[in-house]
Amino acid sequence: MIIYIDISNYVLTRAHTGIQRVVREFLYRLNSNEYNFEYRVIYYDSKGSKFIVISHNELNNFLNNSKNYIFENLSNSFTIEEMIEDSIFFDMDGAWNNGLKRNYLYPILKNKKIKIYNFIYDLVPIILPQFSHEDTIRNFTNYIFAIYEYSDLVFFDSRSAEFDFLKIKNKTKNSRNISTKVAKLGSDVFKQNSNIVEHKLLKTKYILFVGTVEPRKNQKLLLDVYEILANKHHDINLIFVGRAGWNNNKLIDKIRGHKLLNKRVFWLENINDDLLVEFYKNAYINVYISSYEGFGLPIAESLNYGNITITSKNSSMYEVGKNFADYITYNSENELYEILDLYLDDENLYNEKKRFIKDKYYPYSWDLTYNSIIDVFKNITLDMKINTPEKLQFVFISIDIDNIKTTIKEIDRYIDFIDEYIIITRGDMIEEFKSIKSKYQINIIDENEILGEYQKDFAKRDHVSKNWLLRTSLLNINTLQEQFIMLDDDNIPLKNIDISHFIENGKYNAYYFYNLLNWNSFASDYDIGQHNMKTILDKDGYELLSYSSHKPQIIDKNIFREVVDKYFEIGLEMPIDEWSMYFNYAISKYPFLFNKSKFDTLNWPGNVSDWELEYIPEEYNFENYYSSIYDAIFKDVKTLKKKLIIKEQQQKPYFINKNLYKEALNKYDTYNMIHGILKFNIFSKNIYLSNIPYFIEAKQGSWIKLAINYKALVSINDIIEVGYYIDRKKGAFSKLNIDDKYSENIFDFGISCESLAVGEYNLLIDVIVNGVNVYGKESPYLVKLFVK
Amino acid sequence: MIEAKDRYDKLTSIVNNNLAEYNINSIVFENYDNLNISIYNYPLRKLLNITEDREFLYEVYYKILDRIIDINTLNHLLLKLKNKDIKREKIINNIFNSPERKKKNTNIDFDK
Repeated sequence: MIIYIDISNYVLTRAHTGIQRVVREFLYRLNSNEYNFEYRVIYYDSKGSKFIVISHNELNNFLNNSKNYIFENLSNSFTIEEMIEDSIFFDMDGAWNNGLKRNYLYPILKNKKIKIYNFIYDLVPIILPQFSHEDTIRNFTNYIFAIYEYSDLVFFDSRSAEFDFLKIKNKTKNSRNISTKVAKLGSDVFKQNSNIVEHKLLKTKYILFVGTVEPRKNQKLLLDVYEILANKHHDINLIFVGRAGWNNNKLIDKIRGHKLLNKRVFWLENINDDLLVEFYKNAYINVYISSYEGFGLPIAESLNYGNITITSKNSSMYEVGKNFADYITYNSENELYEILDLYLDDENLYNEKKRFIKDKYYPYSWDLTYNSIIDVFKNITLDMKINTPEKLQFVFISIDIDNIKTTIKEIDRYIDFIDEYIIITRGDMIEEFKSIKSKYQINIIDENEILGEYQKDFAKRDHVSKNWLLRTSLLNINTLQEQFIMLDDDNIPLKNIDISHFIENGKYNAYYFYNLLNWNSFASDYDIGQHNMKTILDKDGYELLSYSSHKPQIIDKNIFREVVDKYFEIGLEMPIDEWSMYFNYAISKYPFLFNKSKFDTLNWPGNVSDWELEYIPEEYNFENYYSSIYDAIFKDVKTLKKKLIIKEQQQKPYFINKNLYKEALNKYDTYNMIHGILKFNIFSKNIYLSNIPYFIEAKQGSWIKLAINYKALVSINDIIEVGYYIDRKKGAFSKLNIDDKYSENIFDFGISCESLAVGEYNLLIDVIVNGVNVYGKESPYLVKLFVK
Repeated sequence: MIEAKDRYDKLTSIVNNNLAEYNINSIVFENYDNLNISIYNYPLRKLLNITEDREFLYEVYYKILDRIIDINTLNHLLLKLKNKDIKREKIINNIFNSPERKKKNTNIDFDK
């Protein structure tokens, strides 16, 4: 097997930023190591109708001097027809600009059984074509079409880009399975030359915006806000760094004709990397409020320099900035003005935030990006093949005899590929479990038999660590097969399930229900587990979807063993979720073995108000059994059809809320109807809330969950609650997660409309610190609630 | 799954609908049937067989210059074709002999 990496566009353009930077960072490392596979870095010579292979030495020379390097050895070449069968063709460069069109090339490669891998950085020319040149739109659209038709695996730099790609694929009615993987981009600090760089502006106090000056980057909003800000803060300058972009005369004229230009507003169009580093290092605040990004490298680079970074919250931006950046969620002037004003006014907050970034921000490195890609090549050359067995073991952990009896009864009814049931339970329950009836064999195992040394004091452990120990100990079952179904005793099938639900065309199906980055609750051990996992997986560069979809899922024993080897100790120290650890690791390492699918579980969440559905199931094949639901809404309901009708009725107000919110977004932005910063101070404790609209519309009978940012300068043992008074009566208050003297996070601010009549209400937002209200019913922060 | 041509049409429609939201003119994408032919060896006949002049001109620019025809050139050549002031073969030859084509190194197979 040979891996062909086509860098024709890099060779042609000789650019060194953007995509070419990613290609360069990858190739540097590729060229410095040895592998269990062969690779050829190539470019297409249209005159000779052949690919030229770049030798090891020449590649290094080219990467070190890509602008001027002239290739010397052109003799090592081959035609498309001469490419080796069963190889991989990897397009990570800007291939859509190549003359060798992929709609021509890829079918030829497929005929030669060559696999096609791609790296997509964003879908701007399709999603926001107004920001692209028409030739780019045409070339890129055709390129994406070729990928949809022929690609075997696509890497993305963010979940957001992956999601956009799959959403559009779905809209084009393309049902081909394409494996996908997110590989985040590095943001290592530029290596500076030893030359001393100086610039008179470096010694001033300035807000920095690095990026091509173009409508998509939205420099206009910052300039508008700065005009107001400059009147109050006389010592702060504004510096734009970046070339003039395409189709942008209005903004360019505005900057060039600005009355403060070269006095307090500066535009540096051409500065070298060394000077750029100095500007980053000395910036007071960095702003990057783009309308859409595939990744958002300037955010990562800015945070890497320890800068306070204000950015917008769309596309991939939050994946990069996480809780370390400040977000202009609604792109409103109020938000941008007030956050800048806050940091310029409050030196203590400014310093604490800088410390928070310095201590806790972890940048992705280019080594991580490289490994994230190369792992896949290393693993695919192992020639791992998934066989679809005729039958599978179903493996439970259970101490609930009623649940497991019900579940096994329904599995017996709907699933016909059971090899046997394996049930792990407590020693004292084994006799009782022997009474379970099934048409398939049941193997009941005492948990102590598989726990080994960990059986000691097992009973004293908390629920989550017990679960982790038991799941990981499944590997100690001698008869455990290479692939098995792992499930809980309340995962009930609702209809006939075929084995292709789990294994299809040589790939495992993995069912996710949420993006871990967007899980904003901190109420339970489960929630804490989600947050812990997010950090652990993210630091290792793995994907961040949540797979605890409360349904049976297929597990590959060998890959599971790798996960256990890597994370076993961590799972004992803190709550983590075995489902998400396994699948995110497995998919990141072996994406070609998996299809990621939306979950299909009824009653997850149990109550529609528990958390907002991020991905809405298209069908329901399993049910998460809650006895409380059967005591209430499903009482005497026998058929799936009726259950779905009830569930649909419950969900309806929430779907209406989503639409109301979408409609309101435009008003929030256009009419600037967002609170900037809400400030709460008592007993020398400071709490700041942001991203709260002036008004909210909601459907009667529902809960609204608003994702709100908080910054808390408090003591670690303080109990801080945020909530509201509604028409002077106390509404819902939620406890914030405080883990340091400076804590910052996003939390779901819940507003109940369950028992409100249709009408208009005044919500007054307040904070309670250690039981004492800051403002109480006299809070100055009003939100209008319109219940419909 | 629907046919590949329909999938292509759906994709290009998504792009053009997005442009329409900003009152930007649609892009005339190339003919699906010829997407899988190399512009380094494009059959002359494929271009000459196109019925509509407008589509012909778009395709000629896509396949020979690998770019979209600008609106002024399009209108100018459409008028000339309509008035029979120029033949399609001549347009192709002119573009084929242009420095831009030579730089891009695309090719027409004049025998096919």
